[in-house]
Amino acid sequence: MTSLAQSAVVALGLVASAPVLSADAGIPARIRVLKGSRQGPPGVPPGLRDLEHQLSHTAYVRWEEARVLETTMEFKKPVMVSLPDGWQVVVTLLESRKDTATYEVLVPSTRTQSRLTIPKDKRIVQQVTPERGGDAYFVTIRPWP
Amino acid sequence: MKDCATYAPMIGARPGELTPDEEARLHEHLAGCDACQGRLADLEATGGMLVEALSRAASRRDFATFADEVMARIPANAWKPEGAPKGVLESLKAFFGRHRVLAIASALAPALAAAALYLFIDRPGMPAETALPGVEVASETLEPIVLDTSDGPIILMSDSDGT
Amino acid sequence: MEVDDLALVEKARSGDADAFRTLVVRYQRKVFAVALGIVKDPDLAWDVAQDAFVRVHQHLADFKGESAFSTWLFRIATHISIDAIRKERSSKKDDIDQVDEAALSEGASGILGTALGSNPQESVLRKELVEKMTAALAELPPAHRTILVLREVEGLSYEELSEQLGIPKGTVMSRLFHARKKMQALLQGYAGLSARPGRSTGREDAEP
Repeated sequence: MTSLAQSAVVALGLVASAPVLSADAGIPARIRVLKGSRQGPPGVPPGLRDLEHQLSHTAYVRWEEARVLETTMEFKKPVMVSLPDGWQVVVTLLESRKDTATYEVLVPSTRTQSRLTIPKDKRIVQQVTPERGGDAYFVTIRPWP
Repeated sequence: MKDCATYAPMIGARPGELTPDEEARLHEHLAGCDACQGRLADLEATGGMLVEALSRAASRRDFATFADEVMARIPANAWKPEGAPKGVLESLKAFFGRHRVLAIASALAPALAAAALYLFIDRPGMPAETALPGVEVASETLEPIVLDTSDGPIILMSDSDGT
Repeated sequence: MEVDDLALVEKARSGDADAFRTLVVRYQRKVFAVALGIVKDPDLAWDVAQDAFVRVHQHLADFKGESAFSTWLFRIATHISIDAIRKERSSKKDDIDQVDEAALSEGASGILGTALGSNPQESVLRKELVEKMTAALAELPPAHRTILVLREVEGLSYEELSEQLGIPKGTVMSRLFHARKKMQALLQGYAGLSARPGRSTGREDAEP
């Protein structure tokens, strides 16, 4: 883990798992919190370039990376991701097959549950706050980053 | 007695709710009216039963998740960061354990949650109405819209006012 | 308790979530009980009760402390409950407020009082009737349910009832009279008691 990512983990106060000792114990993932805005100069920061094409399909034109977490997620162990507005999103690795990982994402502030299966080379982007003032927060998960 | 039409509704008044004059006349009426005495007796005998009945109903119900659910309906920016709800994980798990929220393993229940609207973009050849395997979203407050792109899905959440 | 409530309200107003949560837990059952009495359906009452707390939170800034917090909370809960059943219509056409000969001629005349005995709190019949009470309440028209709940569960005075329901004091009293009369008649029915002389159903004969 880079020191930046480590301090991000600490700053987020996450329940994150310890480094993996065996392959069965968990799957590495990069979880990012993004902010999308309808206003402002359009653009995607360097850290989000890999999502640029995906994000271009939304109505949000300006993107910021609010948080980054790199961690190895153990199966069935929830990871809490804090959003800048104070709420938390709960991400849990449920299972994995050969090249796919399945996650559960809980967003209590909107009473939303999702079950997402992501292939190794793809990314999921999920909105986790309702749009307010033209802004909304998203969470993205990438297994085996 | 015609007077009962006037005095029967006064039975059950609490101290101070009748004028001294009304009280005096009520007592006088009661002294000579069996029917109204009977009404008073019934009222005294059944007093408190309604409260007891409703309190019992409230006691029987499990309120374990009630406060969590109320708190979950209040936007997070209402609380100062140091005043934010504690024990989030426990209350989240309690909240999502409620059977009224979609169980992850089961199929979407249309009555409970807005079914996700799946839109396919960038994937030639996929019919629009086919649900994307591996993406299940349900929300009690917002409408999920899934955009499937060649890099992976984007799940948007729409307010009912269309934003 | 009241001073304690105000302290919690102050904290909640300035962003303390735990303070607000404490208020919720403190009053959740009673708010539910009020809602249940008015809306009848327990699941609806649950939602209404939650709505009340959410709305209270939205208007925390407006609460000036002129009344007790609980009074304000129950007032909001009552409004939401009444709104929730606004569509419910009474199937009977009888005038809910008119006290006339017809209204006076039926109904209890001490029968329940006698049947419940000199120590009503202890009587087995009372326990049975309490069990049936919620069902009896559900059979009353909405206006009668509401005024009984406000009077007996929230303990509102004639003046408060008059203000909250927007009816004169005289109407408050006659509506309560009607509501109680109906309730008594239903309870008599559940107890197997008859209002007519000469009909004994095996329980204490109320006629001397």
